[in-house]
Amino acid sequence: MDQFIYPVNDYGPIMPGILMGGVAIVHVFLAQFAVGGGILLCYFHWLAMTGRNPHARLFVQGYFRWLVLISFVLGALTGVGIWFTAIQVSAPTIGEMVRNFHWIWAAEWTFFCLEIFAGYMFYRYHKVLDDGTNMKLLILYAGAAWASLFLINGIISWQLTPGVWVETRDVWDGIFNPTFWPSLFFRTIVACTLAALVACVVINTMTPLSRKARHTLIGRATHLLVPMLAMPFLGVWFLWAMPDDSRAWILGGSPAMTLFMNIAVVASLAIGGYAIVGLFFQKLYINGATASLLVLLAFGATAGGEFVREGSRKPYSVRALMFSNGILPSEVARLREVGCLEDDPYPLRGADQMPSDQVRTGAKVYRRQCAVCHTVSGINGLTELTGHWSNDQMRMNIAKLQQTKAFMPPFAGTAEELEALVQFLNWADGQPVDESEQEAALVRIQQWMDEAGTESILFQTGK
Amino acid sequence: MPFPLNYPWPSAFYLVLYVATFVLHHVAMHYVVAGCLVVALRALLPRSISLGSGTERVIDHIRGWLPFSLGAAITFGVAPLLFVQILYPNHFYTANLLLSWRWMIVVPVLIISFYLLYLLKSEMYLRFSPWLRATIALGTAGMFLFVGFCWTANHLLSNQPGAWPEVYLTGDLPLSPLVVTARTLIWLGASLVTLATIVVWQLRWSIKGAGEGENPVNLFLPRMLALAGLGVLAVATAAYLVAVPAEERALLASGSGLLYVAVIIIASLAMAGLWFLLTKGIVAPLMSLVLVTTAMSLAWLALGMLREQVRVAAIDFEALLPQHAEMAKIQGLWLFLLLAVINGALIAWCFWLVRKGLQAGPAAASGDRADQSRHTPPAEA
Repeated sequence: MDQFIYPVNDYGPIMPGILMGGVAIVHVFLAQFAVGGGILLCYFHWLAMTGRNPHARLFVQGYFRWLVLISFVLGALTGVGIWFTAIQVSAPTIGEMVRNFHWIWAAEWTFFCLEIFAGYMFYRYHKVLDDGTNMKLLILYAGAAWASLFLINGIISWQLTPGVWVETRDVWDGIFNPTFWPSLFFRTIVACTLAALVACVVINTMTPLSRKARHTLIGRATHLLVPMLAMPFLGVWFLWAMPDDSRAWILGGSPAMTLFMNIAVVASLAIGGYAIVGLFFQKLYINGATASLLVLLAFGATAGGEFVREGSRKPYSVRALMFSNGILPSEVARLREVGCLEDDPYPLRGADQMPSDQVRTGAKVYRRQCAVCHTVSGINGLTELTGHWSNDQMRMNIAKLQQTKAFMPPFAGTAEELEALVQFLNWADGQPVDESEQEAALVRIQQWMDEAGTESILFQTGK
Repeated sequence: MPFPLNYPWPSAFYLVLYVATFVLHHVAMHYVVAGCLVVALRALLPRSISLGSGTERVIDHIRGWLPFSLGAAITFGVAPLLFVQILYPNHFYTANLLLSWRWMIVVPVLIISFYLLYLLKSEMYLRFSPWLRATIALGTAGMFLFVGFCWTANHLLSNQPGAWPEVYLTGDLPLSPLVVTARTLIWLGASLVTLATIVVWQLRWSIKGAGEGENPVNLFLPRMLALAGLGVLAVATAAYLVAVPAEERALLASGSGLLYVAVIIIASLAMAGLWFLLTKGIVAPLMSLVLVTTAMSLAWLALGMLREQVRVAAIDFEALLPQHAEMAKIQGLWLFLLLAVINGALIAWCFWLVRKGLQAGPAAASGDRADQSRHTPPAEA
């Protein structure tokens, strides 16, 4: 497999993953809204054409305008933004995904095209077309949107649970992996939920209608919240299908993962509880402020869920196939022999500010192996994480990195490169560069690396 | 065999797919860029100056279709973005990374320009002063030109692997201003031609769809746009040939390069002749329009192929052939082809449904809405 070395950019105190995460969360939220919006519009158009609600037609017109202005613009462009930022974070990962699933992505593209044509045709001409034609356009739009969710869900879930694809390399084993189905159903319900909550906001803007009329529309919109009842079961299914280590992290093993998991769960419970008990059964009226708050809660739940989904893959970007830093598990042993900088053609920025060749080597090692998930000093900053360690603790913890933290990959370089990384981190932290006893230190480093081995702790313990 | 058929079938297949979808993306993008420029030029003219009702209708029509065209351009652009990552992953990703913020800024710029297109389309826009209208339209066009520059920079940088370490260190891009300008003008010239062709198809379709009694649409503006575009294309191409290195000129003047250059010249001459012959009238003769569209498509496809031929010659393309062969073994091609046909047919069906609906007229729509008697009135009403 290609192990091309890519240039690495420095984002200062910002982790590149944060940049991608921000774009991805917005995109997922808007894309799922678009999918659910299509389903909701089909329902409301049916209400209008069958005479079940005299205001449904007005709602459809207004809601679709929001869909076009928000989802067709921001949703589409943040989707492109994910691709661009994913390249910044880990070009090898996105390359691997494209390599293995490019026909699935190409198939998804055909649905994007159908979605945009059906959607815009409806948007532009619905006032002059008959109900039957409008319904056909809406069904095509909603169907295409959901089909694109179906396909991308396969690729995204494959990253966490590639399943038997690791052996078979069959694209269908990859798509229909262990977390595909719970994830698909869960996302479909989330899509309906988001659409219904946004509908409540839109309905409140329809001021020409009486409160009673708006209440009837809200009542209809909340029908799409009922499937939330299935979310706990789907969540349990997803947790069961996850790898043991990933599950352990989000259920207490990792404070950050557990926190975001709790945010997602609590926000979802709050929305679900209010929606089902208050809106569906008690038929409460929901004003614009409350509806907006629920939409914000839903955004928080989406953000927490996506953070958990991404973070629980650690130390891999594709489980068992590629570590987060783009290094392949099969390459670690070789890189410990030849070094991780062998094929790195890129000079070091700011090299003249560094006091020695060793520190410069350490900076390059950091760039090659650590920069994708860490900063030097900032979010997830290494100087903060290691600042209280002695030199020997740093050497051992990095040499046995996969044992130091189970969600870290093994160190993939020579003992000299590891020592250089230690000295670089000392220098970056304003500590003196300690060149004493380095010969003895290199021996200890090599011994520790040999003890830890070249595999992730997850596979050493058979998880 | 002509390029890309001189390469093994996996690489040739991916190249053909890439160029075809790249041209599709550009056709939609041409509409947006040229459309913004047309709207901007109209805004610069005082309101008191009338260009004739027919031409004013055409400009108004273009204004109304700009947001959809950008949506289509972005959607169509997903496919070439995918295929370029299959064909040249290392080069494309490295260029992305080297450009960093100068590349990623494309996304927020497109978001802003997308909303500006909706503003351009709105009734509110028409109430602005001429200077504000011109500023908005020119600013929007400028944003698209900037995005185009970013893509050009990405493309040119990806073709210069030898320069990457230095670019990484200094941030200075090894771009020739003359080459970039010439490429931009080639793009703008092509944009005007594409806009003119699509607009005539749209007006023909909407007039037919609207039934009889519609005011005739003047083809003066589309014809002028097309001829102006061909003129800009010719001059820009000449400038480009002067600006590029001798090796690239030699490539274009021999073998496949010469074949594609010949296609472009013949197609351009055919377009020029056909646009001269297209008479003012209600609807352009169908055969002329088909021939113009065919010539335009062949010209842009040939331009796309030349672009790739130059790129392939600039990099170590042979080293990528094994990767393409491996990727070609990945399953799913049948799914893509099947869905391309099905979804393509469904898109065509959408057009047919809308056309049929427009021909039926507003009476059909209001008839459905008036017919509430089939169902029990809802309790909530």
